[in-house]
Amino acid sequence: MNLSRRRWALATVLVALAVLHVVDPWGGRGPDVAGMPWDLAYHLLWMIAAAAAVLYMTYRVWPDEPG
Amino acid sequence: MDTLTTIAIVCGVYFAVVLAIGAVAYRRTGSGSEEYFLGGRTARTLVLFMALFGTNVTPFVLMGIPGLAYHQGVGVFGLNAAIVALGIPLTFWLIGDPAWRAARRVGAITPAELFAERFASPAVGYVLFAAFVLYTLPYMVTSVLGVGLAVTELTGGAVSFAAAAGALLAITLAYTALGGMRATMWTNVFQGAVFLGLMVVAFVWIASDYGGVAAAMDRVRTHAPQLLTKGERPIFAPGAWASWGLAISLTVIAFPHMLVRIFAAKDVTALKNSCRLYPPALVLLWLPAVLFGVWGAVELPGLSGRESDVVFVRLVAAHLPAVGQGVALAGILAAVMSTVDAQFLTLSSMLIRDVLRRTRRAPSEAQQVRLGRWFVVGLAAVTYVVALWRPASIFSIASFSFSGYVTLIPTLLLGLHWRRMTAAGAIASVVVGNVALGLTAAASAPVLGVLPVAWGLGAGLAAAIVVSRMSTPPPVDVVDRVLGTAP
Repeated sequence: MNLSRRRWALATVLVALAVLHVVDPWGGRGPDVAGMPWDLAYHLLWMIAAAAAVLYMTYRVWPDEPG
Repeated sequence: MDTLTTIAIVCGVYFAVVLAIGAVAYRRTGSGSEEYFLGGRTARTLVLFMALFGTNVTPFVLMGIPGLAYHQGVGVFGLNAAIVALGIPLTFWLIGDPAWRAARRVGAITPAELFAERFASPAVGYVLFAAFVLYTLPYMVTSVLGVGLAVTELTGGAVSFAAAAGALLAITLAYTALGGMRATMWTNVFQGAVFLGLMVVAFVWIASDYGGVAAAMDRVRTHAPQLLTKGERPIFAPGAWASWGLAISLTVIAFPHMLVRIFAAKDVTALKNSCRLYPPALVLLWLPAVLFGVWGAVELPGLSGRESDVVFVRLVAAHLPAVGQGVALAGILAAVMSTVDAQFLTLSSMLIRDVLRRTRRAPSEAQQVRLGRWFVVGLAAVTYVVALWRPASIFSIASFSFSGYVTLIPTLLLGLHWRRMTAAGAIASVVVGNVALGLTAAASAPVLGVLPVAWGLGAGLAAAIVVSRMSTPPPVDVVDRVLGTAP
């Protein structure tokens, strides 16, 4: 995949994450996860997805070459 | 040995280590403003990340967030922590990286200096300097407030708020004024380790006292179940939630003290590694902060308004042994000092580079450093006086500053990516953005359910585009010199 496609892929993921940050598809009524209430667990899971997006951004999209 | 003496000894050791690091950095700092204000642009991953993260963490996280979660519950985690795990790395890439490259090209030391060069307009530098000072001073006050409150609580009033705030500022002044950027970055590594360690240890210790995290959450389910859901609280309404997410994601890169630390990076790898480290570090810090607030609501009910800023400190006093309380105070001091030192140094460098250097009798390199040191002393005095006044809660003051910084984002972002943007567009963006922010903030309720920060950002963006389109494009050679040749 070339850089342009990787940027589009990242942009798509970022938009999806932004939407999922505002809108919880379970409407705040999901189950407890490992003893954590849903409204906390949901955003912890969201952060894991965000961390993956950051890794993708820094390894595959952000250029290394000096400006 | 009594608790007070133990706390004093632990804090004494902490201060000694910080001053020792500052002294070593002072001896290693060469002459010249780039050495003093940017540490020679040599920061690698560990130092850069700890300097950025340490600068980023203030009593807003250690005390303001538990204080807010005390009233609003676990939703505070999603509102604040989650979105910045994405927002900070993203803005470091979109704004930090091109700003770092441009600053190296033209030898800029401050953000205002960089953008004055980009637009070939000292006026842009003056406007940015004014905005940075306006929003950084209150932010510094929140730091000092946090320490004053923590010391008063942990010492049972034996050390007054005024004495604690004064001592903190004096010690921060000592190593910042002498050692410059190198001293602040090296001390930030130690300070970051102290406050991250504190949060983890305090979390494990306090949870153990409750019988584990699950038992602690069960206590909340029994006594304050409303804190375990976002519910119908106004701050979690979609408009407010989205606009606050926008604010807290975008604001960090607009802190002048963060941009200056990015300028100090040795290479782009250090910056990318810092981005990778941000999300896990945020979880380590924010998850305990929010849970302390929720657990504190059950254990220490009845705190109203800004009184809840002390909930973390009271939990520490109730659960940790004397040494732990000392470490807790040292951790709060570390969080504060690692931010205040950066703010002192950055505002001082901007005054020297963006204002005094442009006067008729521009100071020499040696004079710049000397003047910078005296300006830091003046800033400390102003911060001290305002902190004693304590105008509002930590969260409220920080919200004011964060919103203000966001109005600068259109200038920072478009200035680095849109070659057609003009000086007039940049100045209009800052002015119009701040007017919109002020007007909507003065309204009794969020306009159309959206926080003032979003109105300020939107108005600033529109003004930047419209006024740039209406004004003469900047000379190509000026833009190329700062941004590099267009692809």
